[in-house]
Amino acid sequence: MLRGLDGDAVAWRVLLTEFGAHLRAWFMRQLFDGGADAEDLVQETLIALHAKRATWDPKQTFTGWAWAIARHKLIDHLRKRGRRPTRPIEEAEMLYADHTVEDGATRADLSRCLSVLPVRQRGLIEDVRVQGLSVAEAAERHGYSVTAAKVSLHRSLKALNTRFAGEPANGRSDHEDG
Amino acid sequence: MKTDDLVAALAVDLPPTGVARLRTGVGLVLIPSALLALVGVWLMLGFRPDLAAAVGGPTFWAKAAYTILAAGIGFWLLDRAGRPGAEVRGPLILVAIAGVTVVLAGAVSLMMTPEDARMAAIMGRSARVCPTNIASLSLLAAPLILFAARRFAPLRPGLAGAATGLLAGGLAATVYGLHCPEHTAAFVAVWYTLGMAIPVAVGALLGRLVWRW
Repeated sequence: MLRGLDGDAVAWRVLLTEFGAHLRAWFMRQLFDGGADAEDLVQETLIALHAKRATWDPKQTFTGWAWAIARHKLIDHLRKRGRRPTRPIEEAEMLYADHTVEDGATRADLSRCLSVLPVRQRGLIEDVRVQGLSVAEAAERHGYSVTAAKVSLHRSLKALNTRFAGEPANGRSDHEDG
Repeated sequence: MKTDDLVAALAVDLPPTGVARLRTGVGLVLIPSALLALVGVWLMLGFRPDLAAAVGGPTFWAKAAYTILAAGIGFWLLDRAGRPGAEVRGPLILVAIAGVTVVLAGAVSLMMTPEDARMAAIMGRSARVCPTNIASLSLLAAPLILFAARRFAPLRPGLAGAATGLLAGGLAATVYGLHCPEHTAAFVAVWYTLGMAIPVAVGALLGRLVWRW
């Protein structure tokens, strides 16, 4: 601990790793739900130990200090969770299906891919393929005739296809959509 | 495993630190904080005209002793409440002792005052503005102190906030003594105490916001 405070990264790493193992065992025992959140709590506690390492007084025992923080994190966690019954996250899949982290990443990828298209084509394809407007509605919004819109959409897809053909996953999904 | 990655990432960024630096940090901001309060007195209230004479007398220093002691207890309590596993009983007992002593001193001095002069001794001439003046001055003194103190890790942020409030309030009240000519123990016991209690209460409420960790 003393060496960690002086900036000894190796010693600090050893300390966090070893204490982390104790924490893991302890949190597992303390949580009633089989310790599903134990690893989160271990990490949260380690971050706190690291961020607040200046608050340890060398006149104090290290364990007194560190366990006080661990207990605090546990109480915090239990209080936040409250007495509401919990279910493992897997059972809640239905609730999360529409909005996942991957969703956001996909959207970011998508807009990056679409950015290779000219602005007008891009707006059209976004409205039809992403927002889910009908071709007629989208054509009206962007000042195309319906036929021209269909042609433009087809061209856009083709352009994207050529552009990303090297990446099979993208290519295939474009085919399926088209 | 992810936790191992976390530990590895944490151990990279490791500037030397320690509790001594933490205390010094808070101690050092007391200087600019006191200066800010001093400028506040200077610009908004003005120094008491008899300041030079008063500094030679005992009442000025008795008042200053009380408020500096309050600030000192605030510092001590912050240092204890802000460190996990540290004992807060000592400073809390001292808060109680100081409170009782000041109330007793005020009461005794009132009893020695003729009955018809007692009300005047309590109210002085500035009872109405004294607590709010002290509270406004601590508003000047507190931000830097809070900023330095946020590196502590209180398990009870409310208590640490109250301690910080006491530190800022004591500092502000000490500087306010350069303006305020009131000299009765009863006045100080009531109004200075009340003035310092306001930042203590505000600090207790702010604690939760300052220390999210």
